[in-house]
Amino acid sequence: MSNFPLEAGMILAGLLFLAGLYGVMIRRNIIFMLMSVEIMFNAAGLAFVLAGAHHGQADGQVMLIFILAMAAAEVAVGLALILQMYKLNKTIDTDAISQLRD
Amino acid sequence: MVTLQDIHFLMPEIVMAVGAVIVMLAIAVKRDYTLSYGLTLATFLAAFGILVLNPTETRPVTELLLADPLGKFLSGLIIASAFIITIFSYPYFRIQKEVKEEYFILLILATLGAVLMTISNHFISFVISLEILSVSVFALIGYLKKLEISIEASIKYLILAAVATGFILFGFSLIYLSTGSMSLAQLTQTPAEGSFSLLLLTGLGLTIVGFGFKMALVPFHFWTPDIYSAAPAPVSTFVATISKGAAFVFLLRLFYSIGGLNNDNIWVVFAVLAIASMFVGNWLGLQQKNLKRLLAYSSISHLGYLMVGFLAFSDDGIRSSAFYLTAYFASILAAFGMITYLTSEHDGEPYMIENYRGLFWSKPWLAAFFTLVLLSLAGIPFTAGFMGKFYLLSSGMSAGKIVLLLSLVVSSTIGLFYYLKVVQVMLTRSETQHEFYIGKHSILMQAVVAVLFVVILWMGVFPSAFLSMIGM
Repeated sequence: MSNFPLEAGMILAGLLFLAGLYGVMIRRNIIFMLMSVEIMFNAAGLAFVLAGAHHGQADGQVMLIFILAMAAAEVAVGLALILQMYKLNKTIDTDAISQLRD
Repeated sequence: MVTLQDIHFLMPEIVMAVGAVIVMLAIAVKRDYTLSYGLTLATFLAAFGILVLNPTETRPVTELLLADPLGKFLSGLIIASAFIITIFSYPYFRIQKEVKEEYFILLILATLGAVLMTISNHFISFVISLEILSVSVFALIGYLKKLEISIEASIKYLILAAVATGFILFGFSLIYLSTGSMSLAQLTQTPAEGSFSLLLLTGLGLTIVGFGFKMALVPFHFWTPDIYSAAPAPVSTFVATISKGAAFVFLLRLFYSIGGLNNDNIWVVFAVLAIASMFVGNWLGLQQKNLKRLLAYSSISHLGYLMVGFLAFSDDGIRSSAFYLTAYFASILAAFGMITYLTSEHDGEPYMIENYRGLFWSKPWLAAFFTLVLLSLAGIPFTAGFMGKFYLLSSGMSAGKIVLLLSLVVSSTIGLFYYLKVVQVMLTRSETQHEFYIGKHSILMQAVVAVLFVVILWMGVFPSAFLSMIGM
């Protein structure tokens, strides 16, 4: 693993992260927002794997496994909440849920 | 390798993990609200007892965790607060029309995550404990799932917390790339003082954004008032105290070990966050009519004060932060506890300040207690809050951070107004006075209120006795 394009990989990870962040900010559909968050997590995972490979350690890959697991846990709870929201509001648009304002 | 000693050290966490399973099994056998409550109390008591009996030492426990006095003290603080929150939760959820036994499982798990976070010494253990904490908190905030605002708050928190976690993860990956280590113990030696590469700076910057969200520092504070006002009062207490305190400890460990505060840019970023939190928190607090939102803004400003101890970048700073966190925990627990105490089936949660009009004349003891709590939050002498600010000021003074100190003093003065406004409302006698139909509370609940009263006074009057007790 001596000469692989670290810079290119990190730029890809950075772009993925920004794409995810952009998605969370402009999307109004809550499912798409969750997906965008997943993209952010995976961008971080990619960066960890690249960094691990760069240092010749397995730590980065271990971290990726944990990131995948926690993303799954987060989505499980997230989807349950979205179902409940749909039951109550008949929509999954975030503009529809804005009672909390002062 | 895990030795027997390590297992000994980890017993409080193991007890809590097992406790959560036991409560779950107990629910499977027999659904009984009081039984799950009792088991939860027993779990926290056992965990706290073992923690206190464990020797205080400083050593790494495997590569992931660290045993040290700060971690032990904060674990104890968190478990004790969780115990108190459990007691507050019991009457609150008893009157809710909801399946409510599982609430306690989530509470134990969230506490477990927070405790693990305070002893984490590695990115991996931090990320796992962060997720145990946050995923449980999502469910806790949305626990009253038939209320629309509750689900709304929960989803908002979920998205924002997930984005914050994303920032922290990406920041960690950049730190890892530039230093080659995920263990805080090895980060210590890596960068030469003050000379950080651009990569490392970016990584630390992203991490700061993530932690800013978790700790609700301005400008990442927008979620706080919404979540606090919509979540059940005991859960708001949890989010305001335990989850913020745990995040603060890891932030402190990370930046103290990497020496991040030696870098002027990072120092300035933190100072700006701290000063903005103090002023914005106190300023927006002035306009609130909703007590829970007021406490949310109050907690934003308190985290700003806490950053003064963090920015002192010394052992003194750690000590004063620990003291301040304790004072803050006690005051916020008592303030939200007050709302919980007055919650009744008849008219729900008394969350508007107006509800407290004339409380002094109908329930003088409670009103006196609440006044003390508000004075402690405002930082009036002879209360815990005052001594906390005093220690923060002295640690900041020895580090020579005059701008921070001035902001602390000026913004606390602004804050004084809204705390006193609540006291004034309680003192005003009026015709439209709100009547509280609270049932008879258990002895335990009354005892907790009394204990908090004593702690707030004691920390304010004999702070040195308290400091020597925590052994720091």
